[in-house]
Amino acid sequence: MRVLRYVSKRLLFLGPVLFGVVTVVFIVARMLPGDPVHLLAPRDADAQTLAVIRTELGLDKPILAQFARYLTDIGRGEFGRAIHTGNPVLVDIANRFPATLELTILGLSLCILVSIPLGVLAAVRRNGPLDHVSRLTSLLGVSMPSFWLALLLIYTFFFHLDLAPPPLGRGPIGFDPPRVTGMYTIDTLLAGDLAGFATVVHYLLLPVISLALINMAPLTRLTRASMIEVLGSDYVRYALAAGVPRRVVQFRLALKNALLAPITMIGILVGNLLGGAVIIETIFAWPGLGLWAVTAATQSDYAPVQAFALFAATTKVLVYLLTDLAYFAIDPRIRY
Amino acid sequence: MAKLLRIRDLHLRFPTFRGTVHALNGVDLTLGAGQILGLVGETGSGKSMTAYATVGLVPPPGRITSGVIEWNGRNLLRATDAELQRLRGQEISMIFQSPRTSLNPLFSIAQQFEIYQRAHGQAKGAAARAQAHGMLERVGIPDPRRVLRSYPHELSTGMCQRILIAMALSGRPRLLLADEPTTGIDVTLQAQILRLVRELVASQNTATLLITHDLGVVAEICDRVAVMYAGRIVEEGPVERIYGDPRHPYTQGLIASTLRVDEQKPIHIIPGVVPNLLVPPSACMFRERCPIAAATCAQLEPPIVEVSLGQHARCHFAADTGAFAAAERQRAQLAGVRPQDLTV
Repeated sequence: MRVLRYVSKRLLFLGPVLFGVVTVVFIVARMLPGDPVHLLAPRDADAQTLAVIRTELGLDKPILAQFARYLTDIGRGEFGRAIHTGNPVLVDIANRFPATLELTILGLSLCILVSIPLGVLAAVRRNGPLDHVSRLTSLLGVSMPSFWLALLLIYTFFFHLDLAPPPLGRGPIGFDPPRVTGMYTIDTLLAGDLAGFATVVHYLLLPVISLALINMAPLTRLTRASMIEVLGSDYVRYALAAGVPRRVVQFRLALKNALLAPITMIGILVGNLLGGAVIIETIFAWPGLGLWAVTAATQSDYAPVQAFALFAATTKVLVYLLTDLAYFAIDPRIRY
Repeated sequence: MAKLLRIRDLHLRFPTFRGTVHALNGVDLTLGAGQILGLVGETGSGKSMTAYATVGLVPPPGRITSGVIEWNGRNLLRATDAELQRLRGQEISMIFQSPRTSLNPLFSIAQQFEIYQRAHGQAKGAAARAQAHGMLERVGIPDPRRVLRSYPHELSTGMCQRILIAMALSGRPRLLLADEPTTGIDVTLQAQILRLVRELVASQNTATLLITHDLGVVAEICDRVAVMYAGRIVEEGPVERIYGDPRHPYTQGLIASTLRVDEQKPIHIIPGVVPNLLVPPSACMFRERCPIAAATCAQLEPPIVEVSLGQHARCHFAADTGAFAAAERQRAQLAGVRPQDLTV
């Protein structure tokens, strides 16, 4: 019951947060260089045509009037049209979000499955060979820019070894499994199309691995540091002195404490990535939200940029809420 | 009396980047069944490390380089990890200072009790809960049922220490290592905790090594006392003997340094600082601060002298009863303090 009250209280906060986001994004979008009118108008349009388009878009009105209109549109569920795709913004988001979601879920799952055990084992066998290897690779991973890592993977596994498909999106041109969830892995399986599933997995391989590798280094380091701190704590010392077997102390008593920090980090990562893994999506031409929003931003396409910011903020708030609920479940000290 | 624990010439080193820290430099200690021994000394003198070494929990990178730790005639330094783990909690238990952080914040008291009980293959299920309930009652916890459901952050410091003591003694160990169990606890509570420990160990005939830097605490509950300095026991014996007639200049200084309400004299201060254990002094570790040090103290290891029945001091001049007082009088005169204001 307490949890329900807490959740509803947090969701109430969503309103003011989103209003803030809308306001800031609206202002920033208007401050960006470039004029959306030119995007719509033919290249050789005269001043009169431009003025007509400007009036149609409502861009000739004072900025406050534009803002008021934008707010009422949002209230009606009207987010406008993305000029660069020609679709209503909501349609684009609905089409592209599953691609981002699929990439994020798989990439982060792989990342977590490797980082957490690696960090824990490195801490448990501190200064052992595994610890040294993981520390060295983490350092390497932290220092390497993510686009560089992705490019290296493409260069090695596509260009040289030909093990991976070209970095051109979610499948070969024309590949379009019957849409149910929009996540190709699930859709192909639902359709019983195993060959299609294999293709999807093949195309997911490099983007997922890149995403996992990029986030692996910081997560491993955090897990290791957190576990080392817990292993040096008073309650671990007491448990050992009380004769609890080392394994039970490490993997039952200490682990639970050590996971609190990584859970926070995972929450932040999920929040960030669901708003589009921009760099990975760009490099792999992945038709996700990030690529879409970046394209819109570079073309002064206001509507999608604003809608994207709103969407990203909402998912972020919801993901953080879930993170807090996970804390709620794990840590009895937290009371709301 | 049968000796339960006998530590002989224990050396412990910590290799660090700045050099090797000589944490223990030949500790000798014996403890009989049911005895309460106070281990006193300054921070860093090796009291806690002696206890950790006993149960095989020296924190890395610490390494025992030589010595013997005999438990019931068995050398624990040769015991395997599994053997030591069985020993801990069942034969030798430990309690620490900072009781609130010694309990795991994410597990209820009942869960923690259960984990400890399972580690010792004690009763399971309902019987285990009943036993936990009984132990909490024995340590004077008013509402065990509620406390078992609680998490550490919901309990007071005193309550937590009682719970830790209950867990530590639930395996009926033969030795309790109490590492400053009342440090940082307010005075009224200190007295309660000490009384509790004394009653429990007496009723279970559990020997106790009480680590503290509070001479008052030692006087209150210990049979014997050992004084540690720079990783060595410098004096050891029955409490009345050591307090009444200390023979090592360090012990003499310590006892002179205690505040007394009934005497309005300036507090005695031992000059100098604890030696740097990266480069421990040769021969006698205390000589640089010692008022009676002579040339021989820098050349020869001081012998262990039995100054009276059961009282040993590690000093060349342990037999010379007047030397310390004379030296202090001389020092005071030089400093301009009136002789009648001296506490020695």
